[in-house]
Amino acid sequence: MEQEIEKILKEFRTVQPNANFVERTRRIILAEQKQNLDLAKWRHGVWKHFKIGLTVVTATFVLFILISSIVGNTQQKVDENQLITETADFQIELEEIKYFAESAKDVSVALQKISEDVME
Amino acid sequence: MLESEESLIKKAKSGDSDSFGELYDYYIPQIYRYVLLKVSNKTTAEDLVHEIFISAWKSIGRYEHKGFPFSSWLYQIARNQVIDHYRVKKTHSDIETVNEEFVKIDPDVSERMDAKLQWEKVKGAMQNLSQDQQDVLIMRFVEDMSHREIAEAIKKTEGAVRIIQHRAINELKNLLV
Repeated sequence: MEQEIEKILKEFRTVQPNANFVERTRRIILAEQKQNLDLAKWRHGVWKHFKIGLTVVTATFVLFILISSIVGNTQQKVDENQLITETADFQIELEEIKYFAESAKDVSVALQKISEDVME
Repeated sequence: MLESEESLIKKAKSGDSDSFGELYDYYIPQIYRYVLLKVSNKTTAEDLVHEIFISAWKSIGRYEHKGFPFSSWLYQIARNQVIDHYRVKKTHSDIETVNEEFVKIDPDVSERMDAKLQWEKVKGAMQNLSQDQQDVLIMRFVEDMSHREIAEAIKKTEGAVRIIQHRAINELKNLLV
């Protein structure tokens, strides 16, 4: 049965379209289409250029975002370094204050001792 | 497959109507048979084939060769055209037109008394199959296309095509018993 079905279907291969129809359609399609094809080519060209333009704009935008983020990170690093330097300066100033405070205390103790000696 | 097909396509893509004409001459018989089997009416088949080749010529600039014969791409257009035809017109098949043509063409078949009857039965049974099943049977057995080419034409995997073919044959057998 299966082979019979295949055989019947294969026999359909001998069917051919009418020669007049083939020739008439061929003429109509190829003649009429020339101007449509030019229009299609023009449209295709416009679309192609639009796609290229869009790609360039997108790439530029992405590049801009990337560069901005890199510059932003660098800027942030500079700020951090500046902060470290400022912290160090602040530390030094604190040390100086501490030194002067301790020195004043020593001077005061020494003066008190001298005054006691004088009193005696 | 047509010799120097790639070169013809390339020229046709650049607007060379003679090259497209050669492609047309080579492929029109098989596209016509496919459409005729799907719509079962000679006039409708001719109208649809006309539309299919107009559409192919219009959009050949967008065709990209992916290692399949040009026919796979044409079948895709033909499939869509037939689907649109049924969607819009909701036509019913008229197997008489096909039968006449079928029996007329092959003298060996027409000599057999039961040839027409057999064909009527097969064609009638095929109308009960899904569109995919009909496509696979026509492409495989009428046009002798490979499973890979059919898969490309109907946008399914090769495995799916084999399954569809197997089921289509089984359903036809059941319908014809």
